[in-house]
This record gives sequence, structure tokens and C-alpha cells, in this order.
Amino acid sequence: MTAFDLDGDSWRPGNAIQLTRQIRLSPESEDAKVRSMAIAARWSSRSTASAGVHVGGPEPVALGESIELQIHLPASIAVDAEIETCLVSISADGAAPRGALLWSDGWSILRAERLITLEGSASRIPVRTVRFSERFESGSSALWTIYVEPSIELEEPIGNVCSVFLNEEVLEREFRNNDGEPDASLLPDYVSAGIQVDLMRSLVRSLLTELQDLEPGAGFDQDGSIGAMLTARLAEAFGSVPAGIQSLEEDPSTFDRRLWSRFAPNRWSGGLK
Amino acid sequence: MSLGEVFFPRSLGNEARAKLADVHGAAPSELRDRPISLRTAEFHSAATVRVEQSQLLEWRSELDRWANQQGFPRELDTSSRIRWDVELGVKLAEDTQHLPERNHPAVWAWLAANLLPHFVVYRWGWPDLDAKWNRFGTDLRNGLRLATYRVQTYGKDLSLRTTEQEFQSLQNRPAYGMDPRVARIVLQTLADAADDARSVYGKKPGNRALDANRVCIELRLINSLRPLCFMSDTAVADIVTETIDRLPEIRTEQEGGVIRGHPSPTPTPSRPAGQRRPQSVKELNREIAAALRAVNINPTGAPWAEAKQLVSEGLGPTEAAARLSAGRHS
Repeated sequence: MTAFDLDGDSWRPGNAIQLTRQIRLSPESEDAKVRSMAIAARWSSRSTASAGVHVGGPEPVALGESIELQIHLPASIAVDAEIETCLVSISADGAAPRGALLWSDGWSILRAERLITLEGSASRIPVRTVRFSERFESGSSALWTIYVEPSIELEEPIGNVCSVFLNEEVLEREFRNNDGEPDASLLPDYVSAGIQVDLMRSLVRSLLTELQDLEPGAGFDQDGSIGAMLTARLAEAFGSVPAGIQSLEEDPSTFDRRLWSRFAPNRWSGGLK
Repeated sequence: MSLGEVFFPRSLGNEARAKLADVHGAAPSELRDRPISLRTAEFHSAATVRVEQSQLLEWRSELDRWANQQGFPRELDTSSRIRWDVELGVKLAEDTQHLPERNHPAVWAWLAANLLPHFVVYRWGWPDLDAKWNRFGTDLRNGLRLATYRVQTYGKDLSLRTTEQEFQSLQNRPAYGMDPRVARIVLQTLADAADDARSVYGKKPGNRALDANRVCIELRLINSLRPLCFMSDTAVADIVTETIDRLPEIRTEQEGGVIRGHPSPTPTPSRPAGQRRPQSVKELNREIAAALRAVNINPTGAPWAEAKQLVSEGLGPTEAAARLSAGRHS
């Protein structure tokens, strides 16, 4: 995976990022031209109004057969960062003056494709990896558990009051990547579906009275609130919030099945990633 | 008071108007005890250690004691306003230096709308109810973020020597002004020139505010062809000094209605009679960008600079874009 594939789920505020850009010269490159130019990289983060250049800059790096440009994105940036690679003239006697910009990948590659997404704008539910044997008294071989704060309200941001805990011991045992590290990204899609069903069930049960009292068509100020999420998902799965509540109260197995229908992955047989 | 490595609440949009409309017009000192609630505040999903309400209230009390020592809520004049900005920036930068989200725009928006609206209103006054509340928002116009950013980027001493116009002239040129090293050298060179009796910068018939803008426009054009970020400190300072030395020429060009890199006032054949000429640099830039996009050229970097050069030589944006496109395909 390259930095440009990040979707905003892997980075945490306060983390610096070290990037490496590898450049190889084409064998047909003319020596005279190669000697007249150097390579450089710059980054910028509009949200934090900050920018900088490759490690060892500001001077560009002389071209060689194989070059590695290091880019250090400081821990103080946020949201996203744009990376641009440039060729700059270093010859004083060429057609272009010293320091002139000769080429930039920004001329041909869209900004969106040179952008590293550090964090998305949508609300997210915290997912934490913990050792269940240490966290819970009796231990557990469950893969996940949902934590919902005891007293929650529909208006509260979902990320503040709910967490998904993944069992590190199970990940260590069954989901290791090529480096031998436990890796939650290897979990199959049906685990993600199960977590979503479980989360919906937990929240609806915790907020049953509040959902029953909800005025028809009630809206929520915050997009990331529990109320906004639950009303949207219940309407998708059951047609309306009251229909969802009625299903849970009168026929819990149908309630579960309908939720599974809503969140089921496209394929069950995909197995491990 | 250093706040440690805790995560702060965020405002996802500009929530200040909704939060403060009921107290709009109140004196700054009446806003200092407004209640806050973290139950309804958004945190980053990976925020392991969240700041507690009691920590925030304690911090506000400490900031208020500090503000009283600075003269809050006594009315600010021009010189005390600069000092307030810088001292507030120093204080906020120091207190927030260990926060993982110390530069996060959404965190500053939450602070402005919830914890410290009195500081924003004290410095910038109340915005109209139907206007944009930018001094409470997420971009660099946020009153608290602006003060902090200024000190973080330029340091206290240079910030005290700088005028608001000089700072804004740089801030409005993100192509090179976002790089703190370059921005600091540019501002240092401008401040030194302002203090140098032999320099033409800011001296009659010029004016420091207008000259700062003129120099920064010129630097933007230079930067598009020779990026300042890849130059040494000395080379950047030399370019700023050379630009300052050319100010008499640049002023004349602008007074004559010509901004370097933009069309002369002489009507050109490319703009049909009766067609409205652009009324501002911004409008002209938009026209050039649209013309470049129409021929599938990304309006940045060298193509952008070349198009502007052609326009300055008398071509209309459409013709300039067409010529560049033809050059690419020939």
C-alpha cells in the first residue's frame, strides 16, 4: 500500500509520517540534460497552512541512476497533505535560469491523486485492540465486543459514547500479516458486518424509550450523532423507525435477520483477506 | 499551563453562530463564564486520552487571569492590538505545544465557539448575524488560530515588528507563504527594509501596506517559475531585496492600471468590443484558469505562468490557452 491509498482510518493526530519517493532514470536519458537538472519534492497541508520540502532541502538533489527522496511530514499537520515532485534547473548556462521549475508531476497528475488523506470528515466509531484476558475479569475468546456508555442520549456524537474492542489475543492467534504482526485489516468482511449488526442492536436496546418517543420526522443537528445514525439505518432496514422498534419488541429474531440483510457482505465465501 | 498530550474536542463546521446567537452583542467580559459540554462535542475516533471538562475550565480560568494582566477587557487601540495578538499567540502556542492536534483547524473552531469566545470578540468584535463568522471558523482567519499561527511561524520579535497588512499579504499567497522558512525570510526582509532609511520599501510616494502587497504579488509570479522553497535562505532574501529595489517600477506599472503578469489597459483584439474586462486580478485569474481547463490543461505551475505571461503580452485568456494547447500538440 502506498501513502496515497490511505483512506483516513490509519493515521492518528500527532503522528509524523516519513515518506520515500523512489526515482529511477531511464537508460536513454542524455548525460548533458541529466547534469543540468536536479530533483526535489515539496509537500503542503492546506488545512494547517503549512508546507515544506524533502529532507536535506531546500536545495534539490542531483540526479543519479537511482534516487530516494525522503519527505518528512511533521506531527503537527492534519486532515491531508499534498505531495509534488519537481525537476529544477541547476545549470547556470542553460536555457533555463538556475532554480527554474522545469517539470512538476502536478502539471499532469490531479491534486486528488497526489493527496495523502490523513483523516476523513465522516464520524467514526473508535475501534481499539485490547487483550480481553487483561481487560475483562473472566477473559474471553470472543473476537469483538461492543462497549456503550451506560447513560447515552440520541443527540450525542456516536464516537464519544461507543467503542468496538477487538481481542488482540485472537488477532495474534489467527490474523497475522506477512511480518507476523496481528493485523485487524485481515478480518473478513463478514466480521465487519457482524460488528455493525451488534452495534445497532446494542444501541437500539439502550435507547429504546427515546426512540419510541421520537416525533415522526425528527431531525438531528449533528450528522455524527447516534440519533442521526440510528434513524437512517432503521429506516433503511425496516422502512421506518417505529417499524424497527416494533420488530425488536414483537419479533426479535426477525429484527436480527433484517439487520443482517442490511449489513451482509456481498459474498460470504470470501474467507480471509 | 501546559495541557499535555490530550485530545481536544472539535467543531465539524462553524457552529459559533448557533452557539452564540443568543448572546450576540454582549461585552467580552460577559462571555468568559459560558458553560461548556463535552458530552455533545466531537473527538477524533483515535482520541485515547480526551481532555476533561475540568481541565478545560481550569485552563480558561488561568487564561483569564493572564488576560487581566494584559489589560482585558480594556479597549484596544492599534498598538495595543498588535501587542495583544502577539502575547495571546505566545500564550496559546506555549500552552498547546504538546497537543497532538495543536494545529487542527476544527479544534481551534471549537475553542473559539465554546471555551474562549470572549477573546475573539475582544479582539475582532461581533460579526453581523447574517455574515460569515470567519473569526470563529476553521480557516486561518479564526481569531485564536491566527494569533497562534503568527507566533509559531514568525516568532515573537518578528511578529511585533510586522504590520497586519504585511502578515496578510503573505498569508494570502499560500503558494509560498505556507512554507514557514520562506515566509519568515520574506517577512524578515520586509521588516528590515521598513526600518532601513535607504530602502524604498514603504517610503514616499509608497506606502507600507500597499508595498507589502505589491512585493508579495511579484514574489508569487517569481515563485511560479522559480520555486522559493527550493532556494537557500540567502537566495530567497536576495530575491525579496531585488523585488523591493524594483518597487518604483512596480508601483508605476500598477498605478497605470497594469499589474505585472496581467493585461495592459490597451484593448486587445482578442477581447471582442463590448465584452466586459475583468474588474480584478482575481477575476482575471478565474478567466485564465477556465480557459486553460477548457483545453484540458491543469491551471497550475508552468502552464499557468506561461498563460499569464501571454495575457500580459496582450492576448486574451482564451487565445493564450489555445496557443499553449497548440504548442503542446505541435
